[in-house]
Amino acid sequence: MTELTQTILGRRGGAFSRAMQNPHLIVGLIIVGGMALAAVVLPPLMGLDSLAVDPLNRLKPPSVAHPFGTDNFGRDLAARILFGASTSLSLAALVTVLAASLGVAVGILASFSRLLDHVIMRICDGLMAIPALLFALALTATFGPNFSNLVIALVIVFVPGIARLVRARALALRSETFVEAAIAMGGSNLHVMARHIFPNVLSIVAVQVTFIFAETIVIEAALSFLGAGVPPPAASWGNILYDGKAAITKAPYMVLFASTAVVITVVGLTMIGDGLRDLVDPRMSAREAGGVRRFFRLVVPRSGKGDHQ
Amino acid sequence: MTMPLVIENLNISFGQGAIEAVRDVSLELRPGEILALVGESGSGKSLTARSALKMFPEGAIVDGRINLTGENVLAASPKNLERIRGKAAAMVFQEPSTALNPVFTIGWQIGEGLRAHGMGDMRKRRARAIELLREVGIPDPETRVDYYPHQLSGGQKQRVVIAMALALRPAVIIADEPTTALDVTVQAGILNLLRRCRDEIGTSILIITHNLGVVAELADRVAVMYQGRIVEEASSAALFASPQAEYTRRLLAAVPRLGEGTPKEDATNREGLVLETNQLEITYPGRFGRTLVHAIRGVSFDIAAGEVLGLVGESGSGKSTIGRAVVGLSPVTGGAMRLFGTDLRHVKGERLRELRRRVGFIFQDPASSFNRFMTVFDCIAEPLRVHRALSSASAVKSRVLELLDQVQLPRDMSGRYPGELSGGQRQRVGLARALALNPEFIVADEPTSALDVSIQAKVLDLFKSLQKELGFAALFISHDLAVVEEISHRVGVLRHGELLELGSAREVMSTPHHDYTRLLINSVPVPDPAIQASKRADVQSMLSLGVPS
Amino acid sequence: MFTYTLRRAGALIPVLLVVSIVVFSLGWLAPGDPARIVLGPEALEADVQKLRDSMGLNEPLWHRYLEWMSHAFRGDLGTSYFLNMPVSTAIGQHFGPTMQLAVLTIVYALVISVPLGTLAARWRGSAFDQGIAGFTLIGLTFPSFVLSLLLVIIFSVWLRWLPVAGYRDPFSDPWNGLRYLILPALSLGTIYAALITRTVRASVLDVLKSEYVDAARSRGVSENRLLFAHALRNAGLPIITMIGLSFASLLSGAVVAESIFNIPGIGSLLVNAIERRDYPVLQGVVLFLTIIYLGLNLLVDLLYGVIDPRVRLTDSVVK
Repeated sequence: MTELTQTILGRRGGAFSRAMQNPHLIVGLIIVGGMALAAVVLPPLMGLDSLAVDPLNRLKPPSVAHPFGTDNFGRDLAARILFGASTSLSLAALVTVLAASLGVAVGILASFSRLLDHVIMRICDGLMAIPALLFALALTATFGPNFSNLVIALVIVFVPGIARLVRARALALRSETFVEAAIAMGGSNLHVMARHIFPNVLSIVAVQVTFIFAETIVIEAALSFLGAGVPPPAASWGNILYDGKAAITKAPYMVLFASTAVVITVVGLTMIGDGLRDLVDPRMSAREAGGVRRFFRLVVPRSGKGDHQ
Repeated sequence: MTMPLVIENLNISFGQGAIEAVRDVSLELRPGEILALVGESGSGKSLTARSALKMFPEGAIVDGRINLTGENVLAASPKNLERIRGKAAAMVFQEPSTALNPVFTIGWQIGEGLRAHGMGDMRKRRARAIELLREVGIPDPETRVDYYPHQLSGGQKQRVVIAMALALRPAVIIADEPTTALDVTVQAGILNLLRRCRDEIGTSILIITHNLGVVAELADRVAVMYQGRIVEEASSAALFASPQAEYTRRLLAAVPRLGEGTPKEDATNREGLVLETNQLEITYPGRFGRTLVHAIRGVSFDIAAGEVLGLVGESGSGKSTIGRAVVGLSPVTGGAMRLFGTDLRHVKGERLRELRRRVGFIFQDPASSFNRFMTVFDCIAEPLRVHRALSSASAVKSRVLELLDQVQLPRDMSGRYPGELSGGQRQRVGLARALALNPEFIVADEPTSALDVSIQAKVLDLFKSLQKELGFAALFISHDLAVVEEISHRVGVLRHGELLELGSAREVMSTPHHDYTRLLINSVPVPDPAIQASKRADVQSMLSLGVPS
Repeated sequence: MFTYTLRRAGALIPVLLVVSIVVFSLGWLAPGDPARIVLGPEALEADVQKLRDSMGLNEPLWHRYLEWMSHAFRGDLGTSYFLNMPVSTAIGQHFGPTMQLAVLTIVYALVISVPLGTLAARWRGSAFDQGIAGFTLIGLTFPSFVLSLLLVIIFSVWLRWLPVAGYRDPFSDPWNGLRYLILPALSLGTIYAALITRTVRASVLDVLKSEYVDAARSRGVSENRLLFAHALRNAGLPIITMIGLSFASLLSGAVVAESIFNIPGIGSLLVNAIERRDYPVLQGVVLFLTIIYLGLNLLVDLLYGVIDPRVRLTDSVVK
C-alpha cells in the first residue's frame, strides 16, 4: 500500500503545488487573509477604540495620532475601518457558510425527486426574480436592522442561487457517463451521491462561495449605507461611507479610505474566486468567463438561464 | 503545366518550437488528381492540409513554401489571401454542423462566398445558390435554399458545405475528414459526390482521412503521415498492394476487414441463456405532449452463455438503447427482456443491483466514463467496494493489480488519474473495471469507436483473448461492421429500432437477406482499390433506389 | 414563434405566484400594527380597532392575501401610510427620474462598450486589449456606490465642475437637468460599460473561434465582414441578455445611486418608505420592480427567438 499511498499523496501534493503556482489565488489569499489578520490583531495591539468619541477632534485629516484621520464624531477612522473589517468579514463568513450548506442540501435533495424538484425550483425561481439588493433591503427593513437579521436576510437571498446551481450540476452529472457507469455496476443512490456527485458539485460550489463572500461584503456596505444594515454607532464600512458622504466636502478622505478597504477586499476575493476556478476547471480561463453575472447578482436576480432542465 | 498545389519543406511548430507538429513535409497535388493524406490523430495531417489556405491555429510557427495555383500562399497579403481563399482552393470540413453558421440560411451562406468574390447582385447569388444545391443533390433546392442548417440532416449539411466549396469552381478542394462524422451509407453518397467534383468539374482534391477504406475508394495517390512526417507516398494501387514503410504496413494490418474475421465455431450451448428479449419495446415519453419516441420496436434475440452477439446499426438505430436497457439505464416499456432469467421490466432496487453485479459495462467514450476525482485504482476497485465483494483492503488491492495485469497495463498506473492516460489506456481501465466482479456477461457499447485504428486493433485483440480465457458472454454494439464481424459469434442488424436480420457472423456478412444489410455491407469502403472500384456501381445504384429513408 | 411566446410567458406564472407570496409576507411579517402606525401612538384603542376592521386586518391570512392579490392585479397596490396617496400614484410620480437616469446610463454604456468589446476581440492580446482588460476589472471590483462617491470627490469636491447632488427635471430645464444627471449616469454607466464590454469581447471571441467562421474565412470572406456579419449576429444572444439584465438592474440598482445623489426616483421612494415603515409602499415598489425585471427578461427571451432560428423554428422541425 505504501507505494500506492505515495503516488496518491504525490498527486495531492500536485494539486497543492498547482495552487501555489496560481498567482491569483495566492495574492487573493494574502489580501483577504491580511485584512482579516489586521482586523483581529491590530485593535488590541494598538489600543484602538472604534467608539471613543472626541468632539474636539472632529473631521481631522490624517495625522500621527490618527493615521486615517477622524470622523464627524471625532472617532479614529483607522479603528473604525478595522472594526468595520471584522464586522464585514465575520458577517460574510457566516452568511457564506450558512447559505452554502443550506444551498447544497436543498440542491441535492431537489435532484433526488422530480416532484420535490418542481416545487423547490419554482420557489427558487420566485425568490431569485426579486433583485437581490432590493430583496435584502426589504427583508432587513421588515425584520429590523441588526446583525443576526442581516445574516438571515442575506442567507434567504443567496440560498436559491446556490441550490439552483447545485441542482443543475447534480442533474447534469447524473447523465454523465461515469455516473451511469456507477449506476450500471450496481452502485446505490447513496454511493452515487457521496462518491460521484458530491465531490464534483463541491468544486463549483467552492468557486461560487468566494463570489458570494464578495457580494455579501458589498451588499452589507450598501445596506448600511442606506441605513438598513448594521445599526450605528457600530462600525461597518457602509456606516463609515454613510457618515463620509455627509462630510464629503470637508473630509473626502473618509470616503476614500473606506472605499479603498471595500475595493481591496473585493479584489482579493475576486482573485481567489478566479484562481479557484482555474484550479477546478482549467478549461475556463479566468479572463474570459464568469464574473459578469456576479455583479448583476447584487442588484438583479441570479437567473439561471440555460439550466432549466 | 503548373501544379494546383505544391507544398515544400513545410514545418509547423508550437510553443517556440517545443512541439513540432509538422516536420519537413513536401507534397504535390496534380491537376485533376485526388490525393489522400492519411494518418492517425496527431499526425499533423490536418495542419498540413489547412496550411494550403494559410489557416493556422493561434501560436503556430510556420516555415516552408506553399504554392497554390502559382501564388505564394505563405507570403500573400491579407487582401490577396481573401482573393485566393474560395477561388483557388476551398475547404470541406469534418463536422458539417459546426461548419455552418446556425443563424443564417444556407442560401445566404453560399451567397456570402460569391459576394466576397464580387457577385454583388443578390438575386443572382440566390439563383447560383439554388443551382449549386441542385448540383450536389439536395432535393427541391428552391425551397431548401431558405432553410437554416438545423433543418437539414447531417448528410445534407455536408452536401451544402461541398456546394459552398464548389461555388467558385476552385482548382483545389481540401476535404478534411469529410465523412468521419457521418453514417456509412451517407458516407458512400458523399464520397461519390466528391468523385463527381473531380470527374465532371476537374477539381483537384486533397482529402484528409484516417480511414483507409475511404482512401481506397477515392484516392489516386496516397501520402501517409506519422508523427508530423510523410513516411510513404505512392499511388493508391501500389500502396495497398505493397506498402513500403513499416508504419503503413502496421496501419494496414490493424484495419479490421469485412469478410476476414476468423470463423468462430458456434459451440455454445443454447440452453443456458444469459439474455433473452421477446418483442422488446422501448419508448421514451415525448416532452410537453409531443409524440412518443419509439426507440426500439419488437426486437427479439437471445445470447447464450459464452456467446458474443454483435449489434450493428447506424446512428438512431437504437443499438445503444438496447445495451443500456440490459443494466436498467433505459426503461423496458413493452415485451420482455430477461437477464439471467429475470424480467427487467419488474425489477427494482436490491434485486436490480444484484443483477447489475453479474454484468459488466464498457462505455464508448473512455474520457468521460471515469470520475476525474478518482484514481485508476479507485475506478477499478469501485465495483468491488460497491458490492463489498472482497473482505479486506489488501484483497481489493491484489485483485486490482491482477486486473491491471490482465488488461496489460503497468501496475504503477494505479495511482494515476484517468485524465493523465491515453485513450487506449483508459479503455483498458474500462475493461478492467467491467471485469472486476468476474461478470458472466459484458455489454460493450461502441468501446473502440473513439480510438485510432491501430489502438482499436490492440483493444479488440485484448477483448477477444479475455473473452476466450474468461468465457463471459457479451453484447457488442458497434457501427462498424468489420469490428462486429471480427469479434462476434452472431450478428444482429438494427435499423430504426427494428431488428432486420440476425444470424451467424459469417452468414450475415456473406449472404445477407435484407437489402439494408447488403447496402450497409457494400457501403463500407474496403481498403482495397480494386474491390472498391468493382462494387462502386452497385452501391450507387442501391443508394439511388433509396433503400434507406 | 407564437407557441414559444406563450410558453415563455406561461413559465412566469409560478414565478409571479411565489413573488406575490413573498411580497405579501413582507407586510405581514413587519413588526407593529399597521393601523397603529397610521394613527400614531397617541390614538385611542377603539379607533385603532375600527381602522383594523376597515383595513381588513382582522380577516384570516389567506383571505387577506387573495384580497391583496386581486387588488394588485387591477393595479391597486394599496395606500401609503404617509403620502396620502395610492402607492401606484406614488410610483408613477417617482418613476420618471429613475427612467431618465436608466436610459441615459444604458445609452452611455452601450455607446462605449459594444465598439470597445468588439475591437478588443478583434485585436486580442494587443496593448489595446490589455487596456480594456484593466477597464473591465473596474466593473468587477468597484461597487457602484463606491465609484459614485469617488467621482463626486473628483468632479464635485476637487474640480467643482458638477453639482454634488440634486435633481432638476431635464424636460423643463435641459441644461441643469443634464448637469445633475451626468455624475450618476457616469458612475453607474462606467460599471455597466465595463461589464458589457467584457461580455461583448468574450462572446465575439467565442464566435471568431468557431468553425463556421473558419469556414467562411476559407471562402475568402474578409475579416471585417466576419466580424460584423457573423460574429456580432451570433454573439448577439449573450450581448442582448447582458443589455436586458443591465437595464433591469439599473432600474432597481438605482436605489443606492438615487440616495447618494438625492434623485427623487423609485429608489428614494423606497428608502424613505423603509425609514418611515411605510410597508404598502415597500411592497408596491418591490413588486413593481420585480415585474419590470421579469418583463424585460421575457423581452430578452423573445428577442432570442428573433435572432436564433433554432429557437424560432423548434415547433416545425423539418427533417
